[in-house]
Amino acid sequence: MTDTTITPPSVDMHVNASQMKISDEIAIQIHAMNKWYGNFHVLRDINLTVNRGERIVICGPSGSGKSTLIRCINALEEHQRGSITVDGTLLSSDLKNIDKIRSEVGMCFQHFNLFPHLTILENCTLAPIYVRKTPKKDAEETAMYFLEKVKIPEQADKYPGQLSGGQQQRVAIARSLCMRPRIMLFDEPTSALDPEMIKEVLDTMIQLAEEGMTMLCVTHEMGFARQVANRVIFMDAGQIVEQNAPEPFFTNPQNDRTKLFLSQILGH
Amino acid sequence: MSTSHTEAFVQKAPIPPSEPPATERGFVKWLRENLFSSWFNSILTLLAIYCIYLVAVPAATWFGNGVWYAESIRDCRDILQGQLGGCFAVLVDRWDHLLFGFNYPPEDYWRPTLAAILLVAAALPIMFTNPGMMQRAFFYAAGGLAVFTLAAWGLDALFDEQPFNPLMGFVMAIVLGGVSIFVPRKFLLIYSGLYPFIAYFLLWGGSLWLPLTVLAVILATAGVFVLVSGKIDLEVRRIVAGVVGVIAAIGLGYLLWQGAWELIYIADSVGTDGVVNSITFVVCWLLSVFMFLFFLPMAGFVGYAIFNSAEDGGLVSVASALMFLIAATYGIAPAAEFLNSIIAIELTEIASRQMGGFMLNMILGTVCVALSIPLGIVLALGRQSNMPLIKGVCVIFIEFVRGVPLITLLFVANVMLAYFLPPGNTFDLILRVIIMITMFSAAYIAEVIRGGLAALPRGQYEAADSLGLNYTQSMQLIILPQALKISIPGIVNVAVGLFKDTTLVSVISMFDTVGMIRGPIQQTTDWLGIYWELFGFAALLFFVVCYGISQYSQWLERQLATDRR
Repeated sequence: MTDTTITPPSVDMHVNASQMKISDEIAIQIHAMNKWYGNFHVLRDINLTVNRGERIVICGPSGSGKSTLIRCINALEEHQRGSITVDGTLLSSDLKNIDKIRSEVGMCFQHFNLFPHLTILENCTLAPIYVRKTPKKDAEETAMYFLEKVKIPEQADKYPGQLSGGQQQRVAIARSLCMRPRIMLFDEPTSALDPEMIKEVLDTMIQLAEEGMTMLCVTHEMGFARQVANRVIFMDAGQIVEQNAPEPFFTNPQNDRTKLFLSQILGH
Repeated sequence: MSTSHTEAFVQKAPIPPSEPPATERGFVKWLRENLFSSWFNSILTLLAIYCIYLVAVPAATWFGNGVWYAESIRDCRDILQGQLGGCFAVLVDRWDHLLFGFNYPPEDYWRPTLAAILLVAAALPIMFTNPGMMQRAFFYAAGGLAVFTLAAWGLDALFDEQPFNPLMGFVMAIVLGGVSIFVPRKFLLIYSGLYPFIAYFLLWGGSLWLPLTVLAVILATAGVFVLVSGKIDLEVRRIVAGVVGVIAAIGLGYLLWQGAWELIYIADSVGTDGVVNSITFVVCWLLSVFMFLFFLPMAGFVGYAIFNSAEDGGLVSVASALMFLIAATYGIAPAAEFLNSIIAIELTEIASRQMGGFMLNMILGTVCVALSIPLGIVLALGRQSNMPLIKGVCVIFIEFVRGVPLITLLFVANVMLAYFLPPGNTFDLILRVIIMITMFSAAYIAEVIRGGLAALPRGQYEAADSLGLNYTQSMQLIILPQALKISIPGIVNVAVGLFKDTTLVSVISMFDTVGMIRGPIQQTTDWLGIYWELFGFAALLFFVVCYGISQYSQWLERQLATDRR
């Protein structure tokens, strides 16, 4: 898996994302997954199948377990019962499987979590060099390609502390992309940002979706969900309460809790 | 120029900038703000000046009237005739004992001196990562050495003594200056790695082949480790792991076989008189039978496990360590002796007991700081481990060592360790002291680093994990660089404390600077009753080193401050 050739975007940028074709191949399969924090039952009987190329938005009130769910997918949190299969690899306590899955699954955090002691370029090349064993020069070329894609190649030699929040989040996305992941997880990528910076990050994510990346995104950006997602999942109290395509989900929610949630966040 | 704002106003000409009034400028401003900002502060200032005057004048007189050339304290008193004045003649008379101890052969003083100069050359490439800065540091060191050599040469002529070989000083100054111009930092770092072996050879003497053989064994072990766990083809790794496995199996088998015979010997010598002896006899016999029966399967199992570890490298470190131990125990001394019999490269051997003075403090300080930082890192990481055994061992070690005074540990090193070791197996006193001080400061450094690790946001660990970095990589590349940076002030605190604590070895009758002053110098009739001059000199030596460490650490912190803008 040392594919370092730079592939230009193969898909026309102006295709509407929701019209994109979704493959039948299964990217993530979660089966009857349960998780407890001590005695607290955080995730209850989660069943979810994600096909390659799907763009799923997960929303729900705070404490509903949506972040925990996507953190379980790359084993940042351990689940206690049920199974998670990513790209055909069963997630177990075997460190080899965990490292394999983590190097195939990119993740963006609410607080970016860039490495403050490394430059932007070093942030982006670190994992390819040490995990993928990519030669440094190739890793730097790839990093510059993705930094250009998120529109900040000129910041490559700065440190994260010198960048704005929006720029940092875009670097974080580029850092994940440098590993050439087949799946991207976003954990509230815009909720720590000022309003004017949210757009630049969402634009980057939309661009990514248009290129056919499999995405799971925990977010409260309902505009983004409508425009990009092909499925919206509503979670409450650790359970998947409702899932549907965006149009029916927003215009005609079925469950009472979904209705309440939507009326609260779309009310103003 | 004041104009009422109710009237219309148009400025005719701009106002040019002018100097602030004299009371708001330069030194006068500084005086006014810092010393005479109010009548109360002015009184305090005057009072303070008077106090300084009271102390400084006698101190200056004491120093200025100082006697630098006398045979004994009585001589000093005769020369001073009751006037206030220091008797610095003791420093001139005993400078060599203060620096090297009273037992060190004078014709070999050049060896520790050269080792100290080489230490600077070895430390600079590690301290300054920027080649330009390293070069400048080398120039300063060369310049300083040249000035020092000139001064020493001058003193030499004045006092008819041999404090410092001027030829060596000038040659080394030129070497230091030249090296930084012509040798790139990469090669200097290799030299830094070799320095411990050079220093050992210079200080303790004996055959050069001994440190060289140790170095060869270490390099071979590291080579095996890299080969087996590194990027080499699986086939090659299997072969190497197989070889290591066989060596380990033979080594372990041999040790078990020997151990079994040892047990029979013990059982025989204990005999069967009395209950305790009988029990010992039976236990020894049972154990030895067990070992005779199972030494082959056990050795085979370990060898096979090592062979099997070729794929993940987990046991490779164990195998390398085992190989190193076996080589170190059985191979090094005969090999070095053999090589020396072919080509003899030797310096006069100097025993640890002969070393003393500030040299001893420097040896202990440098070695213990260099060893306790890596050990402290390992302990801190171990304390954070998820594995209960590792965590438990680290916690118990840290808490135990922190709960015991250093003096106690030093007494253990000096006296009691001999009781725990098999007869005839005592090892060098300085080595024992180094182990104890290193353990002591490593426990403190571990806690300092734990603080640094705890200060890192959880997100840094998660980001490293989510990129697929394994434990070693995420610690080495992400966590430790940041945690150590946070810990610099604390680590330096421990290092400075450690360096000063090396004077505690004077209580176990080692003659370091303080031991030298309190013992062989003050106990002679010549210099009985001299305190200020000797301890002032010791304080000066320690202050120079400690202040240097502290300044360097502050500089380093500023260099590493990339994230705080």
